[in-house]
Amino acid sequence: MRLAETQAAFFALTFGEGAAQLEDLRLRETSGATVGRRIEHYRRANFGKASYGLSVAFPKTAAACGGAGYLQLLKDYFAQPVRERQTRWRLLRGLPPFLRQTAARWGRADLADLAELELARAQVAEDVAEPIELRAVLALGPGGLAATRLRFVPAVRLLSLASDVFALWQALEDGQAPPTPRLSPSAVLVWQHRLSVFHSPLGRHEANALARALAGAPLAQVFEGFVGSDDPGTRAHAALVTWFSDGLIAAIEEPPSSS
Amino acid sequence: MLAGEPRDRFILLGTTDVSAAKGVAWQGIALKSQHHHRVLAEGLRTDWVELITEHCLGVRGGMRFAVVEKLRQERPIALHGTTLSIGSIDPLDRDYLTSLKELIDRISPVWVSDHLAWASFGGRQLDLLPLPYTEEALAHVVSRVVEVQEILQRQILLENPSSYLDFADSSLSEWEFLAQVSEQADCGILLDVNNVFVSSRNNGWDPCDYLDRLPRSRIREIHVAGHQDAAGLLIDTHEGPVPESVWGVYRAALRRFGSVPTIVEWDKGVPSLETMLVECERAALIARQEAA
Repeated sequence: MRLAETQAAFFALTFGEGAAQLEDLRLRETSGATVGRRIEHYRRANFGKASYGLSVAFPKTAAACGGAGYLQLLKDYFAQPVRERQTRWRLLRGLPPFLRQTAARWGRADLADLAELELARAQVAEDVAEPIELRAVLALGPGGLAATRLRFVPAVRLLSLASDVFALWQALEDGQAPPTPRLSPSAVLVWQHRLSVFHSPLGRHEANALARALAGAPLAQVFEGFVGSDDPGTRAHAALVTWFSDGLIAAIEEPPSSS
Repeated sequence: MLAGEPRDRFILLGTTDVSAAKGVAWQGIALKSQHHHRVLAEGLRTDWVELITEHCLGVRGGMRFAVVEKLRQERPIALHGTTLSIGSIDPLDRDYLTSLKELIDRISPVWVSDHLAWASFGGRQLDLLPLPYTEEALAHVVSRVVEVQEILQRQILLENPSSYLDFADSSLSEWEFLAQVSEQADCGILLDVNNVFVSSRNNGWDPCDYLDRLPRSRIREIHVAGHQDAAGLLIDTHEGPVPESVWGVYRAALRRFGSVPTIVEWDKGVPSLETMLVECERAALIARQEAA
């Protein structure tokens, strides 16, 4: 039996894709466990290996599904066709879109949002977060503030979610039953600071301003995001101070001097 | 060599010169993320440490990055992977190897290892699956090890797998296959003595035969770990203290191969750092006894 044939038959028997019989593998009978029991071990090991990384990265998504629901979710997810070679991050990144596409199966409209939040937390945990201090603003030249742009540390994500996942997150954190999903557009900031990962809801205006800042807009345009809020000047100032104190800002880039 | 400063430790820092890692009695642990805070705050009291390759690839910041940076400045590091899939008929994963080379260049590990197994099929990531030990498989694995070593520009180690079945088509024993791969591809062997015990029990082999037939000069590292008996099969769980049976194989391995850097693995039901260090001390004690 050729190596390729052996691996194809082994894969079919232990992953459930393709057709193969146990006899195809031509296994040697040994005392102790039957060959069927031995193949069953590998079948479980394959599933365990694939699910381990997901279970570490998405503990709350798993908890929200419940044991049987999560098991079914994993089976369905792994049954998806493979379009590019699987890696840990490809498996993790694929879960939120898969949950969106199959939302009706899981009985929770907010499950994909919860997974997206957990994915963002896993991503920022391994990104660079080397922020500068607020006092760097003091070094800005007079009149240059409006044209100045902020450069953010890589360990920042701004999520636009379709549901309010905070009540769900908190309930799971407290070990309580998941509340009824509440569909309500929300913005969530996820970031890493001093080796810890945080997430926080953002108001509409700050989310708008932050999205502009992350896209590289000058501060004048960033602050326009607060137009329409109560006391936009105060809110813009407070947001800017918070972005610095939370460790989001990696650099401030002044416009080139005209002189 | 857990107490005080290891004699050979600083020879290796910042280099990929592995000559000083041969024939030394380093004892260490496979570091778990549960212990990152402790290690970052207090350091690690072992001669060397092993990290899972896949957990370090692409990591640019955060806790894991900080821990790796601290460790690499203080002691030798070994990288141990699970997704090289050296025996698979899938093409080698070039992206993986490129990332691994970048990681190697950054942290200068003393050893880079993976398993004698196949772990992917049609792009799917799988567990460490067994090879039939045929001449065809031997040629396939040797050519891929040579290619990997050329890409990484260094020697790698292959670990003997924990195996749960034996193919009737195999024309070589596992130890003959591993020895042939190491000689023909010029790679090293990471000898997992728990796997020797588990595979021998599951397949009716003699662990002493296994050790006796491996080439002495190729053994670069040893793993010790725990296993569990599950309905007639011994399963390599990496859970719980190292059983006496495995310490027995460890003693036999040291008698045959001399001092070999050793790593304690404990991956499920991860205990306190102190408990893992107790296992490490046990390995050090046995190494001293066998060296006397």
